[in-house]
Amino acid sequence: MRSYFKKLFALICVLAFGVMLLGGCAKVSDKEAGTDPAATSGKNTNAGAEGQKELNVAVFEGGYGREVWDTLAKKFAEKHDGVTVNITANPKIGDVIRPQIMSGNPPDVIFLSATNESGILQSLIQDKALLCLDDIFDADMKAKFVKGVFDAPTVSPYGDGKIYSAPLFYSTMGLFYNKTLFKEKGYDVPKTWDEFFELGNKAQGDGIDLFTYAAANDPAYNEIVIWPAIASAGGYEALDNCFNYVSGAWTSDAVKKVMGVYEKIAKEGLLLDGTLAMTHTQSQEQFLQNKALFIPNGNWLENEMKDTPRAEGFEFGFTGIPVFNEGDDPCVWSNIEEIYIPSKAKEADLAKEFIKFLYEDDSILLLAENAGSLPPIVGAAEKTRSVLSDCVYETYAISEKGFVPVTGGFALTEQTEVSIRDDLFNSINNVMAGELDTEGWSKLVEEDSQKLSEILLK
Amino acid sequence: MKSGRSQREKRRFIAVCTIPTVVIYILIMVVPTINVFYMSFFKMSSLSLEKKFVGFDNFKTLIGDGKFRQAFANNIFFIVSVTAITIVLALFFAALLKQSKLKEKPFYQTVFFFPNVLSLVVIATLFIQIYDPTKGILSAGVKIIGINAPMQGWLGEATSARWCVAAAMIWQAVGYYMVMYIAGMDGIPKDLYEVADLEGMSGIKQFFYITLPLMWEIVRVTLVFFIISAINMSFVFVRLMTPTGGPNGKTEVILTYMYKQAFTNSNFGYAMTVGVFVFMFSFVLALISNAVTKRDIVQY
Repeated sequence: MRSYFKKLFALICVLAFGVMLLGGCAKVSDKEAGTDPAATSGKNTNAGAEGQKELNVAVFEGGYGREVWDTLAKKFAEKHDGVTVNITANPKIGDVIRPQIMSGNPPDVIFLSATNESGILQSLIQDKALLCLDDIFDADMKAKFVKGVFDAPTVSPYGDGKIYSAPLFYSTMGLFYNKTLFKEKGYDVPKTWDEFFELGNKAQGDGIDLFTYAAANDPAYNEIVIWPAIASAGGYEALDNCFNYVSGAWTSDAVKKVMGVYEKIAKEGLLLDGTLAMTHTQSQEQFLQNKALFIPNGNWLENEMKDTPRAEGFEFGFTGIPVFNEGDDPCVWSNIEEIYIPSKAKEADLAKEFIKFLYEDDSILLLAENAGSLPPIVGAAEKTRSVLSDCVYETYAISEKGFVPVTGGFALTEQTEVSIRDDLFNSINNVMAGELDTEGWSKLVEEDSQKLSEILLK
Repeated sequence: MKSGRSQREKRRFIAVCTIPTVVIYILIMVVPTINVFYMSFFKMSSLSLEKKFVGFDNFKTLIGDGKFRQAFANNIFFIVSVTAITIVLALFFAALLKQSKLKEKPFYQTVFFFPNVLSLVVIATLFIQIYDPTKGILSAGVKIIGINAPMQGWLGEATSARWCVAAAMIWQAVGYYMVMYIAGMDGIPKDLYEVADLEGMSGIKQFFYITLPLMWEIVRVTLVFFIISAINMSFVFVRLMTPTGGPNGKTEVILTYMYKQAFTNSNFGYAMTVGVFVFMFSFVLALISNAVTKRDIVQY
């Protein structure tokens, strides 16, 4: 009998140990998930004490690193007594926060734009799991912003004008070129597509190809060319129809003209050799070596490639997208990056305060200086001129050269297997390989568009 | 009485030892697998905050999905090509190392096995560098012998991309299976070869009439390994080497397609349907390969 109890005791011990082991796992992951050692520096221990509040902020760590966010966190904490701000920054932040959101314990603030491949913002919108931000953006606040930014489908997704994500950054993207090379060879920056191809043929005589892009990992960089080109060929309405899956939008003349540009680049052999196997970094390296005249990119390019060897005297130049006929409105793509609060955030009010704080003048200056990015507030570029690099400033000042910034994005739908972005942008590689023509490409996207028009999110 | 008690004690001891493992196995293998089946009947985002039951809709979509069919065909390509080439190479090198009287045998064994020590990510990155269109060693290498590298890079042309990914998978796998086959060959009695030598049997004949039949069981086991690993490994290699699924979707496999649907396209329920298919497919394939290769075990 005694030995029986002994064994029972042993069994209980073993099971208890097993449970502890599993429990231990859970504890560790909790800790890793919520906080970041760099920003909390021990303060975390008294987080439970009275009056102490903790704000968890998850940010996408792009080309600029996390320092600027740490500085902002510190400044915010100084202004608010008893508040600790934990910054979690990661280039793969979507994968980091997904399990937290799923388990109902999301970060209070998320900065991860809709164009990120993790699709976090889209999922949150589809699941109606975002906090309405209308109290931040009252009429006075809204008036400060660039026109149209609040119409973006990711900012006010449900068609009722209510704002669910804040447009934190706004940047203009277009074609980059090497000013020095253009000066040396006597090239002019093309204003029309005809001039663009003329220049391409001329440069090929000098052993330089016309165009390259991030074919191997992200052909969607070409949205920088495609959207404004559609807007300039068919008016903003043509582009809006494309975004909203209006029947026939993707087989319209404007769209076919734009797709024809790519077909022509392929047919005339103006694409840099090897492009189809190049990632964004590889194609950017080639561009810096004067192997290609133009690359579609954004204002982070200069900083992202700051350590990469380049052709002597290389100087970044930036221009918008050429037009089909002289007299058409030249356009340039502008993109917003969203910051938002999940509806299950524990410190929702504090999170709103934090977002408001990011739009204050000091924060704008700090972000401009350390991240090269500005909010879509009128006149922000002039206010921060002193801290922006020439190249970055040029991208913001492009509208002064007559280019009209256009923005927008595909209307959101219910879950579907159709990926219109993939069919639109990955197909560029097929066009370049000569396996797809304009006709087939536009038909493919139109088919997707028709399927999506039936399941629009309401 | 005593024996009955010790029997009971023994059983209890076995139970104590196995229960934690069984519990953990159920928690992290069985439950999620059942969950995959369950979730495939829902429409939901990657965050699964809101679910909508849709019955067999996802399965219907799957049948009509051309992209999925292409990914499936690519998977078959990888399974067949990687398995066939790896098995031949691994057997060849194993037999060569076993039968030859080279002094450097252990050295070669280590060299062949080395890729297995590296992580798949490292190998994929290594091959990305080898295939680099501008500074890759492969392009430079073929130029020396007068062949032009593909204009759009090895991983950029539809004709070469799949084979380039397969090559990396084969390079990774050969050493591992070679070591397994060598172990199998070690179990074959030496005197059989001595007799064969006396009878004047050539090395090649010895391989087909003695070595292969006597280690058939091991080859059978590795076949199942091949199928499972070709499905699993293809995800890592394809995702790293051709993130968009290759030229014209030529390297997209079911697992990368599943990943895209789940996380990029935010269509988690449908991705789980793909998962169900992968599960059934690898299961059936393993059964088939087992049945097809069944023959009487040669005893010695």
